Amino acid sequence: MLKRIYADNFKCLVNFAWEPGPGHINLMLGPNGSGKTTVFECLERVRAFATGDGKVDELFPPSTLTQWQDVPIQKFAIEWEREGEVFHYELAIVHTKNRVHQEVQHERLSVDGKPLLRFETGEVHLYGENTSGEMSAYPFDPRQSAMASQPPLWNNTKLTWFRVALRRTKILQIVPPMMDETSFEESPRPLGYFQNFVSWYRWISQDQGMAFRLQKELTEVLPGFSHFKLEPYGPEAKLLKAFFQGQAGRAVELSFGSLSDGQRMLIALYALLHGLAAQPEETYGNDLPSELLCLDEPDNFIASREIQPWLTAVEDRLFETKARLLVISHHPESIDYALIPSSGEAYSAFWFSRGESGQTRVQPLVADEPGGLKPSELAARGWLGS
Amino acid sequence: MSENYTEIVILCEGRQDEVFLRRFLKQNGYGHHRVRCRPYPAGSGSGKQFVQAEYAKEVVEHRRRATRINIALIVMHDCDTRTMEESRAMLEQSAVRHPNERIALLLPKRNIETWIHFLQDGGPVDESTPYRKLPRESDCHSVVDRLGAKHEYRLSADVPSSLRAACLEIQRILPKSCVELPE
Repeated sequence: MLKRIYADNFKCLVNFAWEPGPGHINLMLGPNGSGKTTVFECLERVRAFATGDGKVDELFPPSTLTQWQDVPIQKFAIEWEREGEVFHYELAIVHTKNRVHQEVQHERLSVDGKPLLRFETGEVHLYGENTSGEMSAYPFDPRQSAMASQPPLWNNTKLTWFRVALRRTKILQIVPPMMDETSFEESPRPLGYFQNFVSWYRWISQDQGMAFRLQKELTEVLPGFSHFKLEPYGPEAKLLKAFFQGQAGRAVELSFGSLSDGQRMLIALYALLHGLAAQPEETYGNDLPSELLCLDEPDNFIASREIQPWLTAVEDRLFETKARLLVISHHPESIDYALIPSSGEAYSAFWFSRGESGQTRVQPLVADEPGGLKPSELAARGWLGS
Repeated sequence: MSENYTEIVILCEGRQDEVFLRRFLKQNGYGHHRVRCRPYPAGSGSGKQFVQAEYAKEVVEHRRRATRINIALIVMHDCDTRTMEESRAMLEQSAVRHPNERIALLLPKRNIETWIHFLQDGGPVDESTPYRKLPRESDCHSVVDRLGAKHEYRLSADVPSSLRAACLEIQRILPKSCVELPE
């Protein structure tokens, strides 16, 4: 479970630290431009780097530096809890004076203060999990993550577990018009706008039970929906088709691309819930880290009537899988439903804003005393969080 | 094929009520998409006023549509220190139900924690005692499942009067959805 994220000198995140709450669902609220999406972007770039999905110059170009200051070093930290143990991952990127080159200044991973990996000045130092002292040291490319390059071995199970936890983090801003209806290969990782939804669906639907449960749930969500079918489309590609019950019991088949944006959004949202238990691309024994799902405005494109059913489905699914959801929303349905008094088991809420010098800041939101206006009305006035 | 409208509206005082009812309904085939809970306000004590204030509006909307679409209204309102009759009368001051309307009034006495405590232990409970809240609302799932008609559990003869009345109300609007009540 993500305990804390820290970023310094990344766009509007200057000495920014956030500890998500204990709720299964953390709702991120705040005005446009307050830095909510930037937090997701930061998390995604660190995740991609630490799991080997990109090099430092691809993921941390000069455009990611805070523009109103002239500081050459970006710093990031992630803390992740696993049954009482706390993993601490640190990354510092240094930009050369002319901003042409970037490289790792240091990358460190420790658990409960005990180092597992240290990568500094171009040299990797590895430490035993159950022994004290350094196991080995060797030079390494300062543009890449040393953690990502470690093969999963018997003596680095903790490092591997943490990397799998990062791999199981999905950060998405779903844009239905960008979803391709065809797929050339299975894809275990959804891309940022979920443009590869069909390829990802091919991956998760290898688990036929999961595909069946998803389609069964969609029969309640999409009137008339019957099932999906992946049909060959040329020598290598597959086309996703949705079947609906038409008049007089005749089946109507529609390509995924011909569905409405709202229908595709609903399908994507419910598929993500069912995919929470999908086999990860990198496996790690039976002690599989639970997923972290980060969604930027998932209530776009869908009708108000769909929001509460989806949120309650999320609650149930997160409860079953121990996964967590960080979600950015401006929708009154989400705001009023989340900002209710409870044990804090289901929801935590945070307000993002900009400080006087422009940097993002965050504070927990708690339910107001009775007698006032709805939280969504307060949000519409810009009064929430004040 | 399901219709794309809310079939059951829940009007209740707080999150524990909602989690309890949603779980019960889900176990009886009413999934997320068929149920809507009115978002209740923040702050302790305000849920009670909210239910009283919104009850009549919900009844009006229910009557406008119930002849055309298949809908039901479930209202949960704690008795606290009042009798069930007093609580029912207080609600029905603003709208009296007809016997054939699919509007159920569930009036836990003293409150939902009394029912949860009974379902946990199965023994007699005192409907005037304020029992402790659960640490997490979803901790009630396993005991709520005992109320479902498909569950093998049989309620003991000590079932509190307010729970017995509530089961009858639910059976009236959703037939075959509750366990058999002991004589």
